[in-house]
Formats: sequence, structure tokens, C-alpha cells
Amino acid sequence: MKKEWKHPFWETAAKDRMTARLNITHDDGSFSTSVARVSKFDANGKVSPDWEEILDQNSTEEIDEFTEQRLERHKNQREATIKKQQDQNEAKRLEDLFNYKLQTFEIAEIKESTNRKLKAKIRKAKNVVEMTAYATILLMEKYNEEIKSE
Amino acid sequence: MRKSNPSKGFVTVASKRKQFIMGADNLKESILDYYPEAKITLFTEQRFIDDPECQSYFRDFDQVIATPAGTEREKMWGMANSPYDLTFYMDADIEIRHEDIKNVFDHLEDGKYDMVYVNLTKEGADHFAEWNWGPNLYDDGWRGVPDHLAHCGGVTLYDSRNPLIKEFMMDWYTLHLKQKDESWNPPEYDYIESDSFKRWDQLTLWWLIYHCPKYKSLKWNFFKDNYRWNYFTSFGFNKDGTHNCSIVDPTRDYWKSVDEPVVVHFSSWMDKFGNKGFL
Repeated sequence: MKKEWKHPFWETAAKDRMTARLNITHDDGSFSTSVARVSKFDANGKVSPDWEEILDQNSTEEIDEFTEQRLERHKNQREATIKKQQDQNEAKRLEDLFNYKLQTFEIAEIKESTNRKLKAKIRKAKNVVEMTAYATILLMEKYNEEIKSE
Repeated sequence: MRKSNPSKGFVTVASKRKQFIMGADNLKESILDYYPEAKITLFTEQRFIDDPECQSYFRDFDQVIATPAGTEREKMWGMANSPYDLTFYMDADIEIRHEDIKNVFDHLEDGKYDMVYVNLTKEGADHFAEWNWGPNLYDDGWRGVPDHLAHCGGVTLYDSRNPLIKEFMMDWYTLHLKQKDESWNPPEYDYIESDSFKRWDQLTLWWLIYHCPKYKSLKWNFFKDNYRWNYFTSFGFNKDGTHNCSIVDPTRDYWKSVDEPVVVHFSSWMDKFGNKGFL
């Protein structure tokens, strides 16, 4: 039987526990693989044979490097997840804003208005507050026209 | 011999639902915001053209033309029947955000290209429901026929002075309808395991461009400032308003020097209301 300990990394800052992939090639030629968590000391307080075997196959520097790489990988994954969520939120906000704009253009006075300048400002609004503000100005303009004509 | 001083215009298509006409109206207005003299044609169903409630949406369109049917893919029929020599087709869930829209026809380089598309990149693929079905990816440097949807049909710039272009667009329309009802299934599709691809008009476009002998002579190109001409909202905008072309299109460098996107595509909005598709 051949045991290979691959890519071990420290589980603790004290470096008294590791996780590694254990590949075993059995005497009959079959192969098995598993992820093993290995403590430095066994129940009797002695350094465990697995621990020694891992260190025979991997230097402390290599384990440090695997540990750093793993931390970096996980940090990048977390950042990517956060970024993806932020992107989704922003896309949803833009889609919602687009929907609100189309609803705003459904208001009869705005729809029929020929004030392209103000309508363009509504369309280019970056948020709902800005959009509402310009829509209100346009409606006020219409309202004032009505008052004057009465 | 191509006609000099070609006519230029924009085409959009709205079928199935009134919301698409609202979107098309907004697209038209956003074009006119930057390009007041633009000619814009809307293709829509006759029932909408006849509907008194829809008349206000048709204001300021150059032409409003009835489509022959009411499928969700009448757009290719509209593209085939553009009244202009040079046409920029856009989906109805698009908004124009930049004055460069006035220069879009320059990308055809005065007859050098028959069609210009936005290239769907590997890095942008996460934003599409499905993108590839094999290992041959343009972005990985492979050549030949790509195993992915390289051309986005959401916007298309084309020159109908080449008579083959109108036939190309009409074949896109008719073959897609046949593809959908499974009466047309070319041998090249046998290698595509995922059946969902076979519902897409995008796959029909892929076949026409790469496999149809009739259209081998057509000259096509991708926009050099690629995603500026179809920036999906799912790509996101940063808090300072800047775009993410550098992330979704890292192998090009236009985003280092040019301004914000010209075309912003609110594709999720449309999905809420109808069977738009996947891109």
C-alpha cells in the first residue's frame, strides 16, 4: 500500500492540526482518495504517525505555502461572491428604474408633452428621486399652462 | 455597384405585448435625444397599429409597418424589410445613452462590411443563460467555427445594398421558425447536446454565419468598441457611474480610452413580461 499526502494546509495558527488529501494506492492496484484532518498529537500525547508521514512528504515551507494559497483562494472567492451580488443588486436597481421611467412616461401629461429637453432629463435620471423631480417639473409646467388658459 | 449616399435608419420590433411598444417608444425617444434627425421604423402587429390606445406611441416614428405574424421573433422579418440601405437594428428593451449613436453607421466602413455585431465574450458568458457547447472558444485563441454563440442578435448593423443581406435576414426568420417546430435540424446541430440551444434564434444566426454556403461571401465584423454597442445591465455600473467593460471584455482595450456605453440593454425587464429569449 502506498500513501500520499497531498496539498496539506494548517488548520490552526499553532500549526498543530492539518488537513490534507490522502491518496492510497492499494496492493491490488486499486486507488482511493479522501480528505483527512490530522492532529499533531494522538490521545497519548505522542506525535501521530500520520503527522510524521505528512511532514516526511511535505516540508513545513510547502505547507505554509499551501495554507497561504488556500486563504488567498477563499478570499478571492468571497470577494467574487460579494461583487456578483453587488452587480445583481445594481442590475435590479437599473431594471426597476427603467420600469419606473416607462410608467412615468405613461402619465398622460408627460406622454403628450413635446418638451423633449425635460423628457430627456427624465430618461437620463440616475435614480428615482431625480426622475421624480424632473417629472414633477414637467407636470408643473403643464399645470401652470392650464391655470393661465383658464 | 453599391449605391452612393445610402439611406440610413434604425429599426426596432415590438410584437406580442403592449409593453414592448412602450419599450420601442422609449428607444425611439432616446435615439432622438442625441440624433434628432434620425429615421426610425417600428415593426409591430397590425392589431397594435389599429389600436387607438397605441397611437400615441407611434409619434415621431418614420414608419410603422405591420409584421406578418405575432411571434416573439418577428424581429428578423423586420430586419429583412428595413426601409433603409444601412440599418441599425436594436431590441425594444434598449436605451441610447451616448451621442456616438450618430456615428454608428461608420462601423460598416462604407461597404467594407455587410454586417457588424457585438461579440459575446467568454468573460461575459456568466450573464447569459447558456453560451457554449464545446471547447472551441474564440477567446481562447481557437479558430474556425466556434462552439459558442459569438454574435449577439440583440443589435445588428447591416448594409442592405448587398441583396444577399435581405435574404440572410429572411432566412434567419424562416429557418428559426422551422427550427422551433423541429422541421429543420441541420447536421451541425447534432453536435450540440443541449436542446435548449436549439430554441434560440441565436443558434440559427450562428449556423447562417458559419455553415450556410450561400452566405460565405458576406463580410462581417465585430464592433471594435464591442460592448459599448450592447451593454447588458447585468454587467453592472459602479457607484461612480463607470461601466465594467474591462471585466467582461478584457482582451479588447477600447474601454481604456472611450466613453460610456452607447447602447444599454435592459434585457431582464423584458423577460418579466414576455418570452423574449435568453440574451
